[in-house]
Amino acid sequence: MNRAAELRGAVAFVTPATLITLSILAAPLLYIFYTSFGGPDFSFRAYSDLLGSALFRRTLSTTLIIALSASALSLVLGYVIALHLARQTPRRRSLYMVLVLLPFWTSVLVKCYAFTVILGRSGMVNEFLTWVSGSQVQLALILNRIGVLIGMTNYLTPFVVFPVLASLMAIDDSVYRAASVMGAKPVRIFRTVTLPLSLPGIIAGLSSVLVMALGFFIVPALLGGPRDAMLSNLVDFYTRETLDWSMAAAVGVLLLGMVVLAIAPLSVLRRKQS
Amino acid sequence: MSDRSIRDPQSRRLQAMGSLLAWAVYIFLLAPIVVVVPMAFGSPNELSFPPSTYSLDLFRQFLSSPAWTGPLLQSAKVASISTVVVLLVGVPAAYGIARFRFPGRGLIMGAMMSPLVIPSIVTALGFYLYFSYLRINGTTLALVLGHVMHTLPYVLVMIVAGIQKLDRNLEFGAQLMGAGRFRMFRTVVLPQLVPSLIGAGLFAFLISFDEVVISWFLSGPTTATLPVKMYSAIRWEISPIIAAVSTLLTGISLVVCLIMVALKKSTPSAG
Amino acid sequence: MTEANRLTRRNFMASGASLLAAPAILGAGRALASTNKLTFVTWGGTYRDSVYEGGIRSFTEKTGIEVTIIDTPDLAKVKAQVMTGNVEWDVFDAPGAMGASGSKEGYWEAFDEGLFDLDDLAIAPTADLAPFYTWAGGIAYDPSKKGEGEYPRNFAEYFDLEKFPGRRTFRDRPSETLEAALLADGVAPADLYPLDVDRAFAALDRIKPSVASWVAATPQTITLLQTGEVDFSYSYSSRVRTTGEAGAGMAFSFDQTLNGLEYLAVVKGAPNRENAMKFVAHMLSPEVQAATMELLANAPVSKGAVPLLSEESRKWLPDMENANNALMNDAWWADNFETVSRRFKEWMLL
Repeated sequence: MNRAAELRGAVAFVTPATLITLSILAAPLLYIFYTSFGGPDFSFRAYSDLLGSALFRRTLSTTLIIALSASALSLVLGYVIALHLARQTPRRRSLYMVLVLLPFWTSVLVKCYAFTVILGRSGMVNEFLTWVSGSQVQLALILNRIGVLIGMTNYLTPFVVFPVLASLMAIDDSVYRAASVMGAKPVRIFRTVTLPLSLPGIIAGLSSVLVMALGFFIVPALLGGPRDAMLSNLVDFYTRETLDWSMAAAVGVLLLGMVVLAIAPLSVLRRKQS
Repeated sequence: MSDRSIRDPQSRRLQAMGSLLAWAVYIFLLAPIVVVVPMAFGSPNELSFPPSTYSLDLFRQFLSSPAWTGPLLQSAKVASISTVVVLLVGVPAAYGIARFRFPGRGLIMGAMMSPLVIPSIVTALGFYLYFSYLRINGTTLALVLGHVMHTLPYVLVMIVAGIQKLDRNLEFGAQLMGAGRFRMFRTVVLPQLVPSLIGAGLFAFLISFDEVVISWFLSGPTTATLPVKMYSAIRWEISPIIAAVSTLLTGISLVVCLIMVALKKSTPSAG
Repeated sequence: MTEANRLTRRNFMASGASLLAAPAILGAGRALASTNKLTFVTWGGTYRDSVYEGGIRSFTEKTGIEVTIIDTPDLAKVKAQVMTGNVEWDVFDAPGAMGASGSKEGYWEAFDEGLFDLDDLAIAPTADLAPFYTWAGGIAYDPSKKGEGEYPRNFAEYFDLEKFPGRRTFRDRPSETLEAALLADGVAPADLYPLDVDRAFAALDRIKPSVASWVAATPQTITLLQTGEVDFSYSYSSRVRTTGEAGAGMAFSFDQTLNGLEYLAVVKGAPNRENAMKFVAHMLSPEVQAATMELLANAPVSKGAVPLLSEESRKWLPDMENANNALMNDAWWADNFETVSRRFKEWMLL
């Protein structure tokens, strides 16, 4: 096929999707930038207001703290599962995998609803503790930071399992054999062999989880209190509550910028591998 | 690892501890489903786990209340239309991307894949502002357009993967026999792609059916989807019907998941 | 290759042109909306059921107009609808401050001439606000958990965290909340207006950590009590009564209440404007007022409805004589709701 023919073919197949992407996706995204600069009367008003706003600064730090802690927690939990899965025979592995896939496919709304039942002030956990201790226990486990972290970690953990498992499985068994023949203890093998060799999976998992965590909206809205609002919730707030669309757009632009920063390690890693 | 397990007691202890930890995490991951499903079969008058009596009352209430069936039908409608549109647009695009090299290919692909990394809230805001300008906010059209863009990357990934497994010589052959490009695509490529098409379609349907954030921004009072209704219900009411809805959603996810697994098994090349 | 280029360029231009024309084309379809429908946005839960039983059902029977009921009126959403020209709501169930502010901002349609029987109405409608009833807001608690002396009876006690520790609710809007804060801080009911906004926020700062929920949807003022998420709740006498009828007995302190007017308003550019007018007139008619207020136990505006209320319902009516009670000043909120709301909403999140 010559180049002209190839191009004609490509144009025929790709044009409809490209047009839709440009008009229904790229245009709205550019429209956010446009709106954040005040629309037709260009100004930096929204950005300077944001930087001066105590609410924005608080929300920004809340977002960073929640996103980083939820990512770290899911990394630990996901790594535990990935290690367990990597140790199974292929048959049992695909069986256990269902235990990760099922939550992976479950709607975030279902999870949030379930956690309000499990963690509420008269929820299962508190009822159980009341029963055990014999006195009324009403720990506040939702509508606060704890609830948000539990909900987010539950959602994000499967996303860590997949890349970490892939890199654990890629480790050649002979490396382990060599290490143990040389007398290395299991903890040492983990520290010097498993952990470093699964680093690509860790970075990939952490980075993708962080990207998702930065943009979480449903979980903080349903399981968090007013002080756990994240940037996404602030976007919603400015869009619907105060109808200050330039502010909403400016928050959106900054959130997008943070996500781009969080992706960077992932793309560097990918470039290195290819 | 089992074949190289080291038999000293310390490592066995560590392994046992690892399994114990892993099971704790599995339980944590599964807890929401394990709790919600039995509750859906409980009585409408109590919100407790495990329920003291079992019945289908909650499902009956759910299916007899227009406040819930309206959104259920709306979700089915939006998801079906979006799936058809995204396949119509996405499958040819995936073919073009998989089979041709052309200037701007990376850029176009990047743009189409971007919803995977851009936070939903940002795309949702963009749609909201832009569709407000177009005066279509709150309509089913707006929801469908939003969902098409949201599901396009998944369809592309799955179809491109499917096409890359096809034997390209069949396509060359058909073209040598004089078939036009589109005829060749219709008669040679599409029939072989059927498993991928079903998989991508189911995937798109499920994602659209479950989508909350974009729908939350784009739907109006008469066009609210099931997840939007559910989101406001969790936020503002404490109704046991939500348990029934949750079970329904989980059931749909499970069915789609199983069909996909079955599809994967039926095409050994894809395994 | 040039052919291909031209093709794409042509496509681009065509799509660009259609995008620019889109608002006109898509907007045109809206004018053709059918006219046997009506969207009424109101306060949900048992209140919605009562309004349905008392008036909406008979409205549909009489006119054949199907009423879509939406929960939780929100002035910001009205503003968004009016701003984007995409109005979805017809009739808005507005507490005084929201109604007055919406009127000032121009969100409401003027009522048609001669729509109401002015002789029957105790409070005259304005150009765009029709008084619906008078309500009482105050402190609700669960009598099965809190006995005599264990719950706050007035706003000063509601703000007293030492004497009455526990989690509380407030509304997610400044109206009523700022009034309650100032009453708690020692301002006499008669001297409330103009509100000392800074002083109110200072008082609210003190109890903010104990406010578990800033409630948007009124049913939550009761459900949060039922589930034990909060110990005390700012709610309404009518809400407590109607949920009591439904079998979940909460109690309400009549020692001190905020009394205010509720309005019905038709949203500017409402898709079913004519139906909306008919609906508002229907809701103010004596029979509907009597039937609805019998269920809600709010004070009707129709004079003809008053004698029709039962003895039991009268016990729950807002008490306008009690000197501890404060009357909401809608005129003040008309000028201040928009700005104070913004400050309040940001403050809630802080």
